[in-house]
Amino acid sequence: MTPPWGVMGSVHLRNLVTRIGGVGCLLDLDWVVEIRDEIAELLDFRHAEPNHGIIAAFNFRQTWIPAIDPALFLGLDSDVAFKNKTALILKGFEGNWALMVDQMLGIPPGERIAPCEMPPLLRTATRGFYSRLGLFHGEPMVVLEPELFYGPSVACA
Amino acid sequence: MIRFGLFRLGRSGFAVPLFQLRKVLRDQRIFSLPKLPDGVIGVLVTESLLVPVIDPQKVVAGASALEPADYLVLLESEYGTLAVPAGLTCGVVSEQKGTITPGDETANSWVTGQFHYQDSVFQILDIDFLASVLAQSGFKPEADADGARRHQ
Repeated sequence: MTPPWGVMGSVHLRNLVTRIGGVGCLLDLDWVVEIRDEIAELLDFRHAEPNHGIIAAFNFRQTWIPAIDPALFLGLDSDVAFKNKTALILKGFEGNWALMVDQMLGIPPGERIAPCEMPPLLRTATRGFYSRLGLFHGEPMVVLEPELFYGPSVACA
Repeated sequence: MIRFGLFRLGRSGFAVPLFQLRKVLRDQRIFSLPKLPDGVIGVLVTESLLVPVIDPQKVVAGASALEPADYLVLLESEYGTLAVPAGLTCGVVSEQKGTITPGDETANSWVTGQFHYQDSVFQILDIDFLASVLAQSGFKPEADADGARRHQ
C-alpha cells in the first residue's frame, strides 16, 4: 500500500480529524473503508488479544475483524467507554480492521490543515509511535500511521 | 559583557543569557501530545512552530516543582527552541549590575552559577544541558525500538 502521506512533511488533501484521549489526530481518508458508531452490539471482547493490541473482535459485514485501541499504544488516557467509541474501518495488509477513536471532528478542506515540523527535541521519544504532525485551527494534531498500530505480523481475532 | 534575561517561577529566580532568549509569550495555550519525554509538559504553537514546554526541575531531577505561570519564556538551544514557564518576568540586566558566583556542579548540572541582583538570587540556566537531557530522553537501542512494534 502506498504510504498515505507520500512526500515527507506534506499534508494529504483529504484527512479525517478525530480526537483520542484529548489529543487531536489526523488520518488520511485513503485508509478508510467505513465509519461506524453505535457499535456496542458489534463488539465481542472474548476475542481480545492484548499482546497484539487487539481489544475486541468487531463484527463488520458479517465478518469478525480486529478492533485496535490506539489510545493504549500511544499511552493516552481516554474517558470514553470502548462501546461508545467510533470505529474507523481501515484497509489493511491482511484485510479490514477497526481503529477505535473517541470522537469524529470532521473532514475539513485540505488547505485548512498545515504541515508542522516535529520539534527535534521530541523526535527520539516519539519514534515508533508517530513521526508527523499537522496544524488544524492552530492545534497540533498527530498524524496517525495505521501500520504502526496493526501490522502484517498480527493475527486476526 | 553578558546580559541576562531574568524571570521567576514560584520562589525560584532564573537567569538565561540574552542571546538564548527568543521571546516571552503570555497566556499561551499549551497542548498535550502522546509520548512526550519526562519533563515536557506539552507544546505551544507560535508562528506555525511547535515548541516543547519543559519543567526544568523534572527534566533533571525527576521531581516537579511546577507552579502556575502566566508567561512562557522561549529559549534557543543547540537542539532547537524550547519554552520554560515563568510566573513573572524581571527584564534584562547586564552582568555588571550584579555579581556571579559559580554553581555547584554536583548539585545541579543545569545551573552554571548564580546571578545576584538587587538582593535576589537567580539560577543561571544551562539551556543546552537541559535540551541535551531532553533530546536523549526516550532513547532506546534499535532492538528496543523494534520491541515497541512487537507490542502491537
